[in-house]
Amino acid sequence: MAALAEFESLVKFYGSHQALGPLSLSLPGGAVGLLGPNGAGKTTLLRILMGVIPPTSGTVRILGEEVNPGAKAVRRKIGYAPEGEALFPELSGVEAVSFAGRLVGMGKVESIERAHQVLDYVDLGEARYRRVETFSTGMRQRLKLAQALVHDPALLVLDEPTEGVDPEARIALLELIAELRAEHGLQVLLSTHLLNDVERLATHALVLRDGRAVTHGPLSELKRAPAGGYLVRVAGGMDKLQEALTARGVAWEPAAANLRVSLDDPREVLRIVAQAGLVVRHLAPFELTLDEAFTQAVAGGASNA
Amino acid sequence: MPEGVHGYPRWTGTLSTGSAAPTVAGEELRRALNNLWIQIPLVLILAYAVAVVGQLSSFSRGGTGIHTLSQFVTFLDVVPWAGLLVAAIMGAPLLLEDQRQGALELYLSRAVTLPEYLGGKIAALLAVTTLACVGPVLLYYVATMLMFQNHPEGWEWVLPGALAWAFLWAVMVSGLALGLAAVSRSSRGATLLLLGSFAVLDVFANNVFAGAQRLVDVLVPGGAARIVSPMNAWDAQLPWMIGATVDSGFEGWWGLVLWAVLLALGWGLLAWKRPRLGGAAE
Repeated sequence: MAALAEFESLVKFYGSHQALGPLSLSLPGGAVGLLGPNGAGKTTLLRILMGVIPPTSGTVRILGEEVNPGAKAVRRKIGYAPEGEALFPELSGVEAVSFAGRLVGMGKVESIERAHQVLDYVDLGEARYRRVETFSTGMRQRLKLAQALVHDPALLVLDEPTEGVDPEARIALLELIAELRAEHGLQVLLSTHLLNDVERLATHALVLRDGRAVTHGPLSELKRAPAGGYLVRVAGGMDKLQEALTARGVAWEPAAANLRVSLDDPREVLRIVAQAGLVVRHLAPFELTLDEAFTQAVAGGASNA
Repeated sequence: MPEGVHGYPRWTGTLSTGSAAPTVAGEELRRALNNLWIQIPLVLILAYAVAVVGQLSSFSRGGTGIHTLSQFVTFLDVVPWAGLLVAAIMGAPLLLEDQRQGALELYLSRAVTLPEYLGGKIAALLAVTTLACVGPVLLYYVATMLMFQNHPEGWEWVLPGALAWAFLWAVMVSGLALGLAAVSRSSRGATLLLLGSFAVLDVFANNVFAGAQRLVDVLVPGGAARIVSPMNAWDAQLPWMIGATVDSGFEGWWGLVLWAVLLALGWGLLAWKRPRLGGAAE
C-alpha cells in the first residue's frame, strides 16, 4: 500500500508567521489521526495536502502523487470534508451532494443518482429534499461526509468530523467511517482534537504542536509508557503485594485497581507474586492512555520529524 | 449501522477532466434566477420594455413618428439602473459569502482551480447583469423591426451600438460590485454603497448642483463643461454610440473616460483583494 502522505521539508508561512514545518515524514496507508491543540497547524496541513493552498517551500505527495495547487488528478482521489460549514444553505441535501459530485467531474445525471445512494448510506435519505439550512449539526456533518463520498474516493480527509455532534450521533458517525475503512478499504486521514475519535478509528497518529511534528507513529507505540513497567492485580491482598515489592526495593504506585510495578520483566513480577503466596488476576504492560500520551507529547515531546 | 442504512455503494464511473468553470457558472446562474431579489429587477425592466413596446404597437398602425432614435434613447435611459440593481444584489455577495461561509474551501478542495472558480462565478454574474441590460434593447429592437415597415435613418446600425453600450455598462457595474465587496468585507454594505453612491450622485447632479452649473457656465464659457452624474454620463453615451443626433450637451467620449475609470476601479479592487484561503492560525 502506497504511503498515505509524504512530506519533504514542508514549510508554510502566513506573512512572517511560520504556521507549519519544517516537516519531513511519511504517513503510512490506512487510517491516520492528525492531532494537535488549536493553532497547531492541522488545518493548514490539510489545506496543503488538498492543494487548496500552496506550501511556502517543500513538497507533498499524497497516495504517491505530488500535490500542486491546481493539480486536479490528486483531488479526484480524495474526498474532503472540511471543518467549516462549506455548504450552500439554500440547496437541498441531494442538490448539495450532487453539486459536490459535479465539481469533481461527475456528470449531472450520475451525480444525482450517486447523491441519492450516499445520502441513504449516511442515513440522510429521509432528509434528501430538505434545505440544508434546516439540518441539525449532526446532519450537516453527515452531509459533508456524503459530499466527500460522492465520487467514491480512495482517501477520505476529514477535518473535525464529529465537532458539535451529540454522543449518540457521534458514535454512529464514527462507526460509519470505521466501516468505510475496514470493509471497503477507504483510507482515512482524520484531523481532530477528540482523542477518542482517533483511538477508535486510527492505527497511526501524527501529533502537531506549533506547526511541528512532536511525534508520529503507530498508536500502540505512542501509548507505550517511557518508563515501561507492568500493571498487576492479585487475589489474596494487594497490601501484601505492596509489602513484598517494597521489601525487594521495587518501585510501585497505585493505578486504579492495580499496582503499576516498575519492572521490565513480567517473569520477575510473577515470581514476587508467587513468593508472597498470592494469585495473579491481571498482568499487562503499562500503557498510557492516548490522552496521557498526547499530553506528554504536546507538553514536551521532542520532535522526531 | 443505523436502521434503514444501506451498505456503502461503490461507484465506478469516469470523472471528466474538463474545466469546472461551466459547472460553477451553471449552478450560480440557477441560484441567481431563483433569487427573488434578482428576479424583481429583471421582471420589472422586462415588463417596462414590454409596456413600451405595447405602446409602440398602438402607434405602428397609424405610422406616426414615434419610432425615432430619440424615442429609443429615452426608452433606454432606465436600463443602466436595472443593470446596476442586478449587479449590486448578485455581485456583492457572490464571492464574499463563499469565502465567509467556507464554500470557497469546498470548491477549491474539489477539482476546481481558482481561475475556474472565479471564471465561472464572474461569467454567471455577467450573464445575469447583461440580461438585465441587453434584454430590453433586444426586445425593443426586435419589436420595432416586426411592427414598423419604415425605420429611422441608420436604424440597421443601431443594434450593435446599443448592445455594446448595454454590455459595457454590465461589465463595469459587475466589476464595481465585486470590487467594492472585496474591499468592504460586507456584501450588504457593498450593495448599499454601490446603489447609494450612484443614486446620491444622480440626485445631486440633477438638483443640488444645478446652481453650481450656472457658476461653471460662467467660468467655462460656451457650455463646454457640465456637472453630470455617472449615470447621466453613461446615458449620454448612447446617442453617440448609435449614431443618433441627440444633444447630450457635452462630448460623448467623456462618458467613456468615466466608464474606463470606474471599470479599472472595480476590477482592480477585485484583483487586489481577490478571494483566497489561508491566514488561519490553525
